[in-house]
Amino acid sequence: MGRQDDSARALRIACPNFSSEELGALRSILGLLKPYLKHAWVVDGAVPEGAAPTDVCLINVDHPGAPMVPPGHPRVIGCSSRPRSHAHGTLHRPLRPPEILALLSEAGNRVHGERQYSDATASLEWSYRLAAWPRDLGDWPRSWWRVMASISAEALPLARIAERTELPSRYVELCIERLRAAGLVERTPRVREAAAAQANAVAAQGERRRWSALANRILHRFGLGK
Amino acid sequence: MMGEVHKIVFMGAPGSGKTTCIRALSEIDPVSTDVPCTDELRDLKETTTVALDYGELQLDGEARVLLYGLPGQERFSYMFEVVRAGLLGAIVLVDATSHDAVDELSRTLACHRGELRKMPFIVALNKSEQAADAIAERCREVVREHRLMAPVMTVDARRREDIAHLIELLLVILEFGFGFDPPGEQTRAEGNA
Repeated sequence: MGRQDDSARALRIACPNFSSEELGALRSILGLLKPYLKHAWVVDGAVPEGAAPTDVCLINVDHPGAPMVPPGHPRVIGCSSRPRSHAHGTLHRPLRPPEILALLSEAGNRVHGERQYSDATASLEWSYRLAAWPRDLGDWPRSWWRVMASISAEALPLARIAERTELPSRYVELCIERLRAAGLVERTPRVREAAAAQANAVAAQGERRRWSALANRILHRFGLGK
Repeated sequence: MMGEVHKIVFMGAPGSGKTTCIRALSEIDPVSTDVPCTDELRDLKETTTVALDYGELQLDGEARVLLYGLPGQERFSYMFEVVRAGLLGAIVLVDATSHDAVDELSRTLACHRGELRKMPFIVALNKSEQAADAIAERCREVVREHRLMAPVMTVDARRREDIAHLIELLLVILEFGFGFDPPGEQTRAEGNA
């Protein structure tokens, strides 16, 4: 399933050891709170083993049996008829709309924020821009001139540099590493490009080649060509 | 049918080697507007360029590279307009033996900064038998001070290979750094000698 579908799905509340009446009451509360919640929530009741982790897990701590809390729950909240006898943050039983509203608002924002952060970091990559040309440029491999030229006017990620220069990625990495070691390149994070943008960049390659062809003709004219 | 025409300009202070570069590359007798020096330049050299130098490099087929040497003084900066169409880039020459070399470079960059931001260019340190590293480093600093981006290369303007490699580097920067539309490209059809 795509990332977009995942972000649009309703958040889930697991209630593994509540009675069916309490589950019904919670569903009613959610219906009442719907206009006040930023995210849609559904009540799962008991969560079968192997099911995907839910977003909030409510545990009835007054229940005599050991609660079955599925692994991977990011947020587990106890509920008791005597909440002050339990850990700070324990909710009242029967569940009360103001507490549920506070809990789900905070949890919804947190889950959504974590997803955004996860999406953002997954789509970030380093891009590099030349800060200055090396003083001993003649000693650098000629093909690395291309790498330096490609990042002299704009910052580019490694993949784009490799595409533009038509050099192997590892070769580009080596050049960038050497430039970084010499303090000649600046590195900044940026959002990963869409595949379409990369395809357009590749399509522009043909136009670029005419200048290297001209350079070859000039060098050839002086007996210096490849 | 008119063949493919490209232009490269050599710029720099008087005596920096513009005329020498063009003589090294040109396959026609360079057109020169050198006249005897009548001012303080007499101490540096016998003649100086008062308009522009011109030479040509004939490639295979109909392609030609037109080579222009522009006087470095600010009062001649309007000449850039003359050569703009079809211009691929510039080589800014510096006479390393001049006591004023770095300041001259700074003046040239200040005068043409707007143009140089839009095209590939290289700073070429000429006549640099002594203290080349120190002068090259100062040239690099001057380039940075003007917020420009260009490599600084040491060359002997009399050596054809040196100048050919400068042009090679210029075209690498054009191809991979500037893409395929250098500033003179839009008016390339108008380009002529």
